[in-house]
Amino acid sequence: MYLSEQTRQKIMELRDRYPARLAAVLPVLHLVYDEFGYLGTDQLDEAADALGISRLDMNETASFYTLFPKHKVGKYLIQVCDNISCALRGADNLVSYLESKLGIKVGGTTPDGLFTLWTVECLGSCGTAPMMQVNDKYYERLTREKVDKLLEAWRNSK
Amino acid sequence: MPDQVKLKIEDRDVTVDKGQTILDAALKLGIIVPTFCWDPRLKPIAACRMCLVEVEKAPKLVPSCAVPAIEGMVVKVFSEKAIRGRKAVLEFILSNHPLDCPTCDKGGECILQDHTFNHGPTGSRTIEPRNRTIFDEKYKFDDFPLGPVIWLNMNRCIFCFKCTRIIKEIAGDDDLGAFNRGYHTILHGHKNRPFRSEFSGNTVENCPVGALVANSFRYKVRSWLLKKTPSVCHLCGDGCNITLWHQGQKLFRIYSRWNRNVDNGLLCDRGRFGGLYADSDRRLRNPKIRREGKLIDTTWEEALDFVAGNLESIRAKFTAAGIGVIGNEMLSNEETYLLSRIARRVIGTNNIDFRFEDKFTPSTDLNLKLLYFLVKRIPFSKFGEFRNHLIIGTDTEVTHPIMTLWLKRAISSGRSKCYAAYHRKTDFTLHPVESIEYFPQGEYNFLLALYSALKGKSIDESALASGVASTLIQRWAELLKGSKTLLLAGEALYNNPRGSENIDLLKAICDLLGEGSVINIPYDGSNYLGNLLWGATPGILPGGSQNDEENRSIICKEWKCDNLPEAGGMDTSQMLTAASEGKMGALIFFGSDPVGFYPDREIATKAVQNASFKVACETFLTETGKLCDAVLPLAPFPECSGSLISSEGRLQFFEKAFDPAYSSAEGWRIILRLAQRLGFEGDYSSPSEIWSEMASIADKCGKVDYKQSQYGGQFLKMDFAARAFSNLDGFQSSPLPSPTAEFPMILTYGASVYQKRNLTAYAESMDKIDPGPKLYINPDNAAKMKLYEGDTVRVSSTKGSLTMKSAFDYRIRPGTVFIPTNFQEAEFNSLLSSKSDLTFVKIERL
Repeated sequence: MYLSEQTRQKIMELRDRYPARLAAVLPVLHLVYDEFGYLGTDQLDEAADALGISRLDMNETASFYTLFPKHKVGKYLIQVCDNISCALRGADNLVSYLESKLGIKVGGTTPDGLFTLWTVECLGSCGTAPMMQVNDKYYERLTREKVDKLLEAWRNSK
Repeated sequence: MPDQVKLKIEDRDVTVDKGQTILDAALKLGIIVPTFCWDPRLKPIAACRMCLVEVEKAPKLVPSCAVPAIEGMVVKVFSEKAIRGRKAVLEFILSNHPLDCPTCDKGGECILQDHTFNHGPTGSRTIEPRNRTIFDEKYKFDDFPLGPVIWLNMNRCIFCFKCTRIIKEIAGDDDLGAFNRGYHTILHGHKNRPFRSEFSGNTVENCPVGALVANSFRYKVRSWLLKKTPSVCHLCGDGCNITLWHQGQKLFRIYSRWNRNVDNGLLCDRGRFGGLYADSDRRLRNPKIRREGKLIDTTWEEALDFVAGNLESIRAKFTAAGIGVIGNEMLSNEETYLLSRIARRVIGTNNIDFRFEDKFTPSTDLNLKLLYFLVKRIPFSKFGEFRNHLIIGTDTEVTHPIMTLWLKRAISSGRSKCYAAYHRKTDFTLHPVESIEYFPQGEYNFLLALYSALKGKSIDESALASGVASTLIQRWAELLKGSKTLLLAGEALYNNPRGSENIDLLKAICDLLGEGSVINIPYDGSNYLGNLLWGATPGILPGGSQNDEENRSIICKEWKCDNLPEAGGMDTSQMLTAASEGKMGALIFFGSDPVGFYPDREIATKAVQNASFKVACETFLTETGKLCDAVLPLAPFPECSGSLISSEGRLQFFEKAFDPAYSSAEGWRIILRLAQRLGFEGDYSSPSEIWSEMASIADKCGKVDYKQSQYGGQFLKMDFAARAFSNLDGFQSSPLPSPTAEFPMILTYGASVYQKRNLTAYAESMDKIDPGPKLYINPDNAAKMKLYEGDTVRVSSTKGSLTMKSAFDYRIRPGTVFIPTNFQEAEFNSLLSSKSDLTFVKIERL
């Protein structure tokens, strides 16, 4: 049993909201993500059973959306855009600075489980490049100093 | 007309039904729009974009397979814009395609090749390396085994998702999915489980490129070198239409022949891969006769003389009644008729039967009752018209895989519901089925309970005796009452100590249900019905008429003889019992293997040993053959011609693909040559000559109209008089014996999903799909016994014991275990006794 009773209850409510149960898959993915911060196969299987669809369908759909993490990630999921606009404004410098600062490679998580660093495709904030998204929030026009301050603040707030 | 729309395609007017797509309309005009992902059996998803067409006033090109036709639409298929659009789509698809056509098994029959030739760009504009999905460096050519028989090359995939949709939408299994997005997409099962749907082969046949390839065909031959022969599958009663792909005397693969009324272009893995048993090099190559205790190879002349001479002397010693013939239900109509003729006319005995796997062979009366229900048979394509489907006494997924697809189709349409009662759980995975599991051989009590519930009588006693909660049966009765129901009665109903009563009860239940309810009896075995009709049972003469004075005299006239043996005659059980007591002179086994399959190995072995002379005619040397005095090699189905009647009542002819390999011979030829040596004067040069003689007999005395028969599938017109059904008032529930403390489990046995008897085990792919005998047990039972999956266990009954691996199956009813009968080495029947109805066993972990 991974899912909490509340999430399960919410999934039950979604069951008959749409003409087809498959239509409720995306809201369910969000529910599972909100509870765990990532979509693990075991959690998805349980959600699929609760929703009454095949486990395969639930996992297929989840795998389509790259923005959902599929494995446990740090408390702060740092997603740095490395597409053209950000790259021209020094995104790769930013990434290597973050790597050295956190002591991890892209895709890795710090040993204390606080930070995970990803590079992602365009986040639609080209005018304020370089930028990154941490959990649900955008941080724009980044410089090394800004990053230092942010990391410091997060480290202290644990 | 409000339900029709008129549109213009390529300046031609066309009217189609509302809801049909632009592609349907174009096809109606004979305009071919190229497609990859479109399939008439599947819901359109417009994944490949190959079918783009231009629609006037639409801002961009539209996928014609998914856009419904609208009144007044003007569609251009071959405008410059549409042609350029499709070319761009192909360029996109090809941008990551490896173009390894010279080593690809699909080369020559690849839809991507064809479309590129007709519509595609002539070159590539990119120089970057193509995307490569490598599963494991140890596999050559980036191929990866997706399951036991299917290999996947993800580089070649064009993402039409036909495979996953066929498995999900049609087969209703959930073991193949497309994960990730874009060119990272890969196909695999949930949690990387192997892909082992029993319909997995269809993904290979329908893959437009060479991404999915069958193990049995991979890197073997180029497809354009193969010849194609239409044929009919022999491995169950569905009668699927198949195409044999062969070169010389080698069979390479079996594909569907797309009969939309039977198989709808789909085959099960048993038919597709199991049918390749015919190509096995373990086949019998030469006739063998026993000399000084050993079976030695000989010529046909010598072998037939030996058999005929021995049969003559046995007939002189024991009279004709001391000779018995046991055929099998896979023989064609022509072979059955000839076998019946040689038994009755040339040898002069009624001792003929074609069932050797059943403990309770149906009596003549029951056989005639079964035939009566065929008059009102329902073709598969009409299954959707029924509100409810009630399956009793069979697991249709095992006995009739393709018929099950029609059931699933009816369920997924939302108009039909399916109820299944058997001694193990019926589960169609993605298609909901209500399942009841009664005690093994609890059919009679279950039917009685259901009948009483429908009548509003008390059911407590009979429900208890059947092992089902009475509330559950009451519920079914409520749900079924008054609705148009199709009753599918399985083999367990008539191969039962109370077979006749079961059928009476079934008839009564059918009468109590809604108007239009019908009983269908889906026979197991490819030509069960043909064997019944053409006289392979003691009590029924060729043509389907009862063996009585009047019918015998008609047959006598046709066969130009004075008399036929009087009624009577023994069925398989009686023959084997008599032979085991030394009362039979000779036994002739035609494709049958009682030692391997008769549910009492001791009696069957004794019978074969004690008969003075025994001859087996078979494709592979069986346990029975090893004990015989002569063994004649029988050619398997690709090497024979003839006709079969499917369980649907459909008569289908098939032609041989090539002459019998090695020294084997077609069945009818062996019977004929033997008959001639025994004094038969007739001669035939082909099965069609036998067929015309059969048609004239059926015309005079038969209950079947063969006059209109021709090549291709069609239903037979049959006319069987109603039988007298017993009065049900006196029917009482009969409690079954319960397991003892020493032997606490009930043994059930039957075919495995992938196998037909022991034949398919000779196909090379089957080793991988279904590798060996296992004891299937319910996980709950196993947990109590502290048994893990794969443990070696000893199963013992009062008759003997076996050692095998255990496997878990949640569908097995707690308190029972299941052994598949398809593995000769397992000797499942050494546990069984023909004297007791149920077999109790104990399981010990080793």
